[in-house]
Amino acid sequence: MPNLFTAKNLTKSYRVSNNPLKKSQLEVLHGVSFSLNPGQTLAVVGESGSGKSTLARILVGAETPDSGQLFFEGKNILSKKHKFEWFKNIRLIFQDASASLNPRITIHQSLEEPLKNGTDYNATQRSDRIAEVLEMVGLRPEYAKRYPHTFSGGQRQRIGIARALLLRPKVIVADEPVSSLDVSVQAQIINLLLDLQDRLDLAYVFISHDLGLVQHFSDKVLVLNNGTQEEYGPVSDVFSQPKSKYTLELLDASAGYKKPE
Amino acid sequence: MIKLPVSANNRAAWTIFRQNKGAMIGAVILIIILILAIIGPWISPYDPARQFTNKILIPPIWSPAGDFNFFLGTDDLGRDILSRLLHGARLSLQLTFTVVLIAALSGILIGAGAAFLNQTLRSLLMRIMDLLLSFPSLLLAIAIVAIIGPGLPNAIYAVVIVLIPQFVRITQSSISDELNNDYVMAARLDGASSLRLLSHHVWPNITPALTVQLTFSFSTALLDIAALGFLGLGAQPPMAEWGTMLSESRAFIQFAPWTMTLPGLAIFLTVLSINLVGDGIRDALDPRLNR
Amino acid sequence: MGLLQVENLSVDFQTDNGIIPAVDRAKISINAGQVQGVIGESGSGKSVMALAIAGLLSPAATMRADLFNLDGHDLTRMSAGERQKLISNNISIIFQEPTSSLNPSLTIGYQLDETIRFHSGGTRKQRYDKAQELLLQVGIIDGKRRYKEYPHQLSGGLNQRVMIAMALACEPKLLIADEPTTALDVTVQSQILDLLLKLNEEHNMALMLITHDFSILSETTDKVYVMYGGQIVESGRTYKLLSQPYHPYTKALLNSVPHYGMHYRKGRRLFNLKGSTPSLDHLPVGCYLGPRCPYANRKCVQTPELRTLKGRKVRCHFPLIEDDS
Repeated sequence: MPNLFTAKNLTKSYRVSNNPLKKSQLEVLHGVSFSLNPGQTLAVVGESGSGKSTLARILVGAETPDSGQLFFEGKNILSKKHKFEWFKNIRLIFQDASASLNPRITIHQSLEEPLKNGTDYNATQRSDRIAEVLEMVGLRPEYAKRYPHTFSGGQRQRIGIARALLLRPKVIVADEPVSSLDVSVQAQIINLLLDLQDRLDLAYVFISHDLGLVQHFSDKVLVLNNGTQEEYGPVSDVFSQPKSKYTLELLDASAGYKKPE
Repeated sequence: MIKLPVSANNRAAWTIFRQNKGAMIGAVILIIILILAIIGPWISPYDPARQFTNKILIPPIWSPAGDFNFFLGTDDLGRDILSRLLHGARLSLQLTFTVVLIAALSGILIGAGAAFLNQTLRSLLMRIMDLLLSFPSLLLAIAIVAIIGPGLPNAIYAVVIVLIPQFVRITQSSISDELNNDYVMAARLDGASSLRLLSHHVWPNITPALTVQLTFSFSTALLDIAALGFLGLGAQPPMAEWGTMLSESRAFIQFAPWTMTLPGLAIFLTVLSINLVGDGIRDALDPRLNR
Repeated sequence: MGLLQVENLSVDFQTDNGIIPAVDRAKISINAGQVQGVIGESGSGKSVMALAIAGLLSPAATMRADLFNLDGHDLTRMSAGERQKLISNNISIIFQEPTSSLNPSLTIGYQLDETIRFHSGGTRKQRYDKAQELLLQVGIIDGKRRYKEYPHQLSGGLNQRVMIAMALACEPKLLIADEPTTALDVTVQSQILDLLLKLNEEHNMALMLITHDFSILSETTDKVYVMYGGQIVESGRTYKLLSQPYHPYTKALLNSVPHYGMHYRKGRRLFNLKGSTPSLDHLPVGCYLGPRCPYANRKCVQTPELRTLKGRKVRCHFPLIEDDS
């Protein structure tokens, strides 16, 4: 029985210079591998510039890695052979929910987009599904008629989660889903994500810089430092016996500030 | 700063526009001119080409020598100036509309195409557009007419060519900006095709910028067409075109100033009102200017 | 005699939708050399209060205070010019985004030099030496090279050090740091905090740390103010306040963040307040936390006053105090 979602040796680099004569490449990921099963959460931890957002974009199909393989239910989804519909199986929750909603259209119109592209539902069926999902994330179905700016940050992130759930995906990649929210609202969203995982047996890739949250939320953790995979394993192992110096430093810094003596 | 929730959209824009006095005055003048241009042929007293050989260079009626049959006087060939202005309004505005429409359509298509081209081709195309943009619009139009020869059709082609780069540039840059937005990325990850992305998610957000460009193109086009007519490169006499009328009466500016002042005033009022309306639309639609 | 004493400081913003109370009757006192913390979420008024104390409010804001004493001078009885001068000689402020607080088109050296010239003057050579000394003080060792560089060539942490150096150029008695480490990576965070505490000790410079993160306050500060909806809802000695919060909001703030190292079982629900932070133009009637508070009842539609309880100030009808009897 293959894993639900497996990455093998993903690499990615960008061309830095606009000058066509000068080829300078910036390697943002060198060799990232992991595997994930339904109901599990993999946390990807790193500081800014560690390549964690690039990894998120690769995992949802927004970018193609230079090399490496991605398997979904045993199929290599990067190979051109079988057309893989990313958006039906792997979905992204954005860090900044308000930027991910088109300000000029209603929530209903935004949420209809994946249903129009991924199902043959008619208008009533689409509305029903939208209402159902909005209720799942703790919002009232009437809210669909409103525009994004009439919602608070926490509500917008709930809409972002609803959008990710519409097509019943198996994997959700969440790119720092709570880092732009107030702390008292963060907890609501984290609880919601945990509830949804229980109910729907979702697999999460949870990208974060907050080790407290990661420890609370995940089964496995992958530590990235400048695009290199420093460490990968179950949360309890990595946090209690870190193998790399960088992980140790990161854990130390996250344990709360200590006054130097 | 706080971005205006753009979804509060058109009604809010209208409110802002209405509070702008200049823009409202411009809008009223422009509407009057448009109505006159549309009903001109029916209300004009005479045929614009008809010559009253015994009524040459009659001043407007407010002058003591005026004649009640010729409200705004006559020109050196005895043609009624009011009739010529009214017909000219129709001609000038028709030409302007056509020119701007063709330029906008082709410019937007090229611009949209450019946004999806690969880096090298896009750079090449945009540098060509920059080259065209670097000339003053009138100078470029004159140069083009000089190459393809004078006459109204050629003048129209010239002005169209002059206007296209501005549309290409603004379309390409606003589409590129839009494509960088998270919500366009989100729509792409929702499975939207490129075409759907463009028509449903990008297009509605770039229409304000294009509307503003459209209004300013109107005034440029009107002015350039009149200028080409004045220089004898565009509309040819005896056509009742404002620029041509100006140039025909140039010789009489000393002793029959009205023959030149009146068409000039018509051009001035039209361009001014378009610009006032354009400014108003820009202020109303640009979220950066209205907090 | 405290360095700064402020009583009933209120700040209102004049907007198109009427007057918005951003800070409501805040009471602050800081002694020379003391480190204090202000904690709150976005929209709690903590940053506006900092700006008000540093005399940097925008013209749209009006500020009132019953008492505003700085270094023994009564600022309420001064002309605006005198007040500004006294404040700028005694208080400096640094912000969350060091990179956007610096002018991107001028070198670090130029901006530092300008601050020194404005504050203490001196010849070009003297100012250069002073700048180098300041850069060294904030832990920038290759000051000669950095002096010629532009903000974008420096990392966020280094830029924040430069901001601190510029703040030090005025030899302030009080440094207000508004979320100084929020935009920085965790490993850099502790370096900046180390630096701020070192300067606090060496210069006997009082420090006011504004943040939304309790974990950086527990080790650094003596006293903490908790703000919500523009009001101070609880204040007291850091250690006591963190170990036993009296106000429900303080408790929620502490418990809604999973702290690293506390060994959670995966999947445990976090404590949270329902709803979201009220916006300042739609504050609820009575206690501002009322609609979100799990302990609220009918009495909470009356506005609670700040009262003293066991050496602590709490603005709540039902403080979370266990009866000693």
